[in-house]
Amino acid sequence: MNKGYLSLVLHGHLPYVRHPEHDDFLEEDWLYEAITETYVPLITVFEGLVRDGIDFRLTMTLSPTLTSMLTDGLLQERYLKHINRLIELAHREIERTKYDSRFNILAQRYLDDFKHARYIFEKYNRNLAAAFRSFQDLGKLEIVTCGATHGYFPLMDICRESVRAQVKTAVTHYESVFGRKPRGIWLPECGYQPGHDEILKESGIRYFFTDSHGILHGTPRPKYGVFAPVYCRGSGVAAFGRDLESSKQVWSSIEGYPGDFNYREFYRDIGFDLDFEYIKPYIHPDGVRINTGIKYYRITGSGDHKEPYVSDWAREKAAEQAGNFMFNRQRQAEYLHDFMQRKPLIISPYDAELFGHWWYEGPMWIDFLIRKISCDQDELRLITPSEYLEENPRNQVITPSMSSWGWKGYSEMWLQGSNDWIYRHLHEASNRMTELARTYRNTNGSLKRALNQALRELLLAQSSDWGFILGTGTHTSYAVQRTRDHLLRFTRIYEEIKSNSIDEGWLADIESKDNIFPAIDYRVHQ
Amino acid sequence: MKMMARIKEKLKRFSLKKIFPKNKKTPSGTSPSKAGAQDLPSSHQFAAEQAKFSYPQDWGGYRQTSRDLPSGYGTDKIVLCVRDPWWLYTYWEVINATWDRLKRELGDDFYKAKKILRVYDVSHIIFNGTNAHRYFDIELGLDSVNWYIDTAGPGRSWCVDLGLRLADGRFITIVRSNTVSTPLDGPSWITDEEWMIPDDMFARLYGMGFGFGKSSPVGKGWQERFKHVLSSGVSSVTSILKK
Repeated sequence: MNKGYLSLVLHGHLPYVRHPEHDDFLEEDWLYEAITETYVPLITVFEGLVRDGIDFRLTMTLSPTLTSMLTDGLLQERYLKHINRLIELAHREIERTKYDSRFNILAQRYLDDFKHARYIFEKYNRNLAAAFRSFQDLGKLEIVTCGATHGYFPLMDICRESVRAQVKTAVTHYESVFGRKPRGIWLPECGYQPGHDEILKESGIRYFFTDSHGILHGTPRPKYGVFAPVYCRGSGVAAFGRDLESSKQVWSSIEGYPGDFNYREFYRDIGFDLDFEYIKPYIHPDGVRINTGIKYYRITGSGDHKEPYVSDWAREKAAEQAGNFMFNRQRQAEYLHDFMQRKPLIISPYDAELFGHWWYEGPMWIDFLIRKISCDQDELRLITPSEYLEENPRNQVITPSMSSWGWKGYSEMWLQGSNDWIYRHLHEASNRMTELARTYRNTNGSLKRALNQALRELLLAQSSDWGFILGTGTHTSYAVQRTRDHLLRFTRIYEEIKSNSIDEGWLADIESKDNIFPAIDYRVHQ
Repeated sequence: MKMMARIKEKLKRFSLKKIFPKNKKTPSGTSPSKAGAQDLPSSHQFAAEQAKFSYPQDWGGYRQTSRDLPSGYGTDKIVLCVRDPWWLYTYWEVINATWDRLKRELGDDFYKAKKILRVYDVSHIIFNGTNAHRYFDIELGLDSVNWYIDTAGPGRSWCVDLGLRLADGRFITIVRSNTVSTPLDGPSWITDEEWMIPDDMFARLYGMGFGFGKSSPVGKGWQERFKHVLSSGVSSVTSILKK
């Protein structure tokens, strides 16, 4: 008999980056890197578990922007080109390193990995969203939705129509990709503002996640802390709080798993390390060095000196840390079970892209963890939030506290000197969009297209990623441009609609560029 | 409070060096994206999030838009946002016509007046402009268009007026903000418990109670079915199931 439950939640998200006007656009690499290093390895882990008859449960967000990119023909075509170029580079690397077995064996591994990524990509007809869907259809994976473009909801509270548009557009899009309604949502950046649960309820969403203090500082005080869901007062939508202890074990900069000295060093990429003339064909045509994904060193220690990566050592370490993670959750569940007189639920959410992209061994760690939980013990069981609610329908009613999982736990990451200027414009655009949706209730032809495109531009401007990048203060020009471009496009459409002078040629041009959510309906912005 | 202490401890442990180990510099390349000199967050979570957007430099490949965003939108407006339990952020726009009107109406007094943010504590009330629990003023520079407000007041509600404080102490509101509430910075003192089972789940439990199993009907007409079961001697069936 199990003592408690663990919900692993992977939040998969990337902002919408698609530039048909450029042949080779650097920021599109965010997607290509994540496909090769995170999404394909996760799909491979899931396939292996199903093949071996391991019954598992995992919860995953695939944000609407991410699924839109994964199902976009142009980006699929470009990914294939990208992976083929990497395969070519890996072949060259095998040749270059042939007299040094330490590197040669790794070059061979990269070649295998890249070929495998291409194989998986083609196996699912280039559509990795369909791959994830297949595991949901098997009942192993629960895919939750997210804000349509990952807008940060607490800073949209002044214009809740935008929160509603983010949620409703996401839900409609989810249905078109996954063939059913989403049960849960990952609020972008885990950003919760009391009252937004009402909007979730309108869309049929049963639950969402908050950071620990979202529940712990809720009113009244939650009897079971974050170890049982609560229902939001008024809406009855369930909220699940993050367990900080399990998060810290993975994320912490000191004792966090990814920092182990046997693991692969993220910052030593041959795109930067090797001779410029040699690497030139595989970096950006403008000569900008980039991460290729081929990295030969392990973290080694805290200094600059790095030793070659040894796959077996890293694998052993991943297995050991999976065991350690499971052991700690078992103890946690055991203690909580006695204390609560009820089976506790431990929610462990992570950025999906942590696994594989940043923490190379992450997918392997998940694989070990799931197998160990399934085969080595019976104190802990994996569960999805909806299954837990089915099993435990009676829960406390509270109003969770405004919170996020960002820096300092609230809105400061997205609201500081470097990015606060965007809200004046975003809020104005939201108000104007509400005005348009109220004014033009039934439309067709180019007016309808213009209204729909106006909402696309507004949603794209709202991505929290732009505010995040601006907040980090490094390499901000792309985030500034995207914010400005979408807002300017929105404003132009607004003015053209108001003056009844829609420039159809220009409209068609931006429809083809910012082509996200083909079935969008501007009337949701109310 | 324990929880806050943990967060604080976590932040204290943060070391930029650890998270962003020095990258080997190469002659023709700069290192991948790293945090700037700001006091940014710790942990692999942040590093991983940032690494998602890694690229070596602002390569400038994106066609720059020549147009700029407007400096204003032509209406008087002030908006108040919550940053965290202690701090608010506000931005505003006051159009020239409004300033001109004030100048006309106030004459010389206008030039002696101070531009002020008046911050009202409006917790648990419907604010009518005069019934705030308390307020405090922040004197603004003439050109300022936004401000971060230290309320030191978690779990309270706030409203802000942008206005002029005249030399004789009178305050003239130019524009009033929306009302916002700051979250608590610790556990609530309210410990009353209320529990709930959602209607659809209760209906299912209700159905299971009548021996319909987990897939018992929850939609339209289910009450009719139960009535039918009850009227056809269900009590003997349930008593069998109990054995």
